[in-house]
Amino acid sequence: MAVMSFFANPHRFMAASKWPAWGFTLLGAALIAFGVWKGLLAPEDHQQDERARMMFVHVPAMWLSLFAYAFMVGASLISFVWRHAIADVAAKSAAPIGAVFTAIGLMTGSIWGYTTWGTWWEWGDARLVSVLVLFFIYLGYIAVWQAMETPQKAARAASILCLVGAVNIPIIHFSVEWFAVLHQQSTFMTTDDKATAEFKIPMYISALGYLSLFGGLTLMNMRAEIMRTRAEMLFQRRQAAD
Amino acid sequence: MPNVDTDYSAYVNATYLIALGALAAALVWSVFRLVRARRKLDEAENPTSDAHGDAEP
Repeated sequence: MAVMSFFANPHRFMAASKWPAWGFTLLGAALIAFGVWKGLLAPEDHQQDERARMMFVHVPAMWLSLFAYAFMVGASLISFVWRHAIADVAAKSAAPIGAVFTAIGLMTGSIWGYTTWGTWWEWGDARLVSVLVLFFIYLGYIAVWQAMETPQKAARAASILCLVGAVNIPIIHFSVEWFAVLHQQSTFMTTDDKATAEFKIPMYISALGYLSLFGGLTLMNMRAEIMRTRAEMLFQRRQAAD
Repeated sequence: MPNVDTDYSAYVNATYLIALGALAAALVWSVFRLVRARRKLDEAENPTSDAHGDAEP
């Protein structure tokens, strides 16, 4: 709560976020590069041969698409309940990055699906369709911010959309258990986890890289948003004075 | 089932290229946005002087 109040002041946020924004971005880029290198050198899987290497980009992207949305839900809730100005900016700034992760997950998943199931897309698969819905929710959220007359109205409407859209998150997660789907069940972080270190290490390095990049880029976009809002306010003030 | 080539390296490389391309685009877009916002704020704060907003404050 104290941290929330501390960062409600944009000046404090700007002072505290400059180096973390660049630091997380650079760390993320380095970890992703290392993860790619380790991923491409990983041994072939006994079932999925070299196709398993696609997982090192697909799975972390999907994890982060869900994490980014959960982050937006948290920020939207704080915005909706406490009208916290920075929470609005945080949710708005995370949305394009989350949409990019989701797009990566969909495209790389589609390629993997073609090599494994023989089809690029399957409309009957609840996992695929629910992730596509998540992508459209991201786009809708971004569009709401563009479409409303005032930032206050946009923040309110976008928060509601984000909170309503949260119902899709458990559907995505449990779709492989609730429905008969082509998509395989979770391999990592389950009680039945059989992945070896050769697969876990590149996977977790990539996931950490994606997470760090998400943090860095979201902070960068938050800083840009705050600077843009302040500039517009100064221009308006000057126009009113003239 | 379509006849998918069992040499999957092109598919694997495509997934890596797509992911890295999209992440690079997100990074460039975010930096570009930040630099543009910095310039705009400099113009707003110093309307008489030339704004050089390449560096962050």
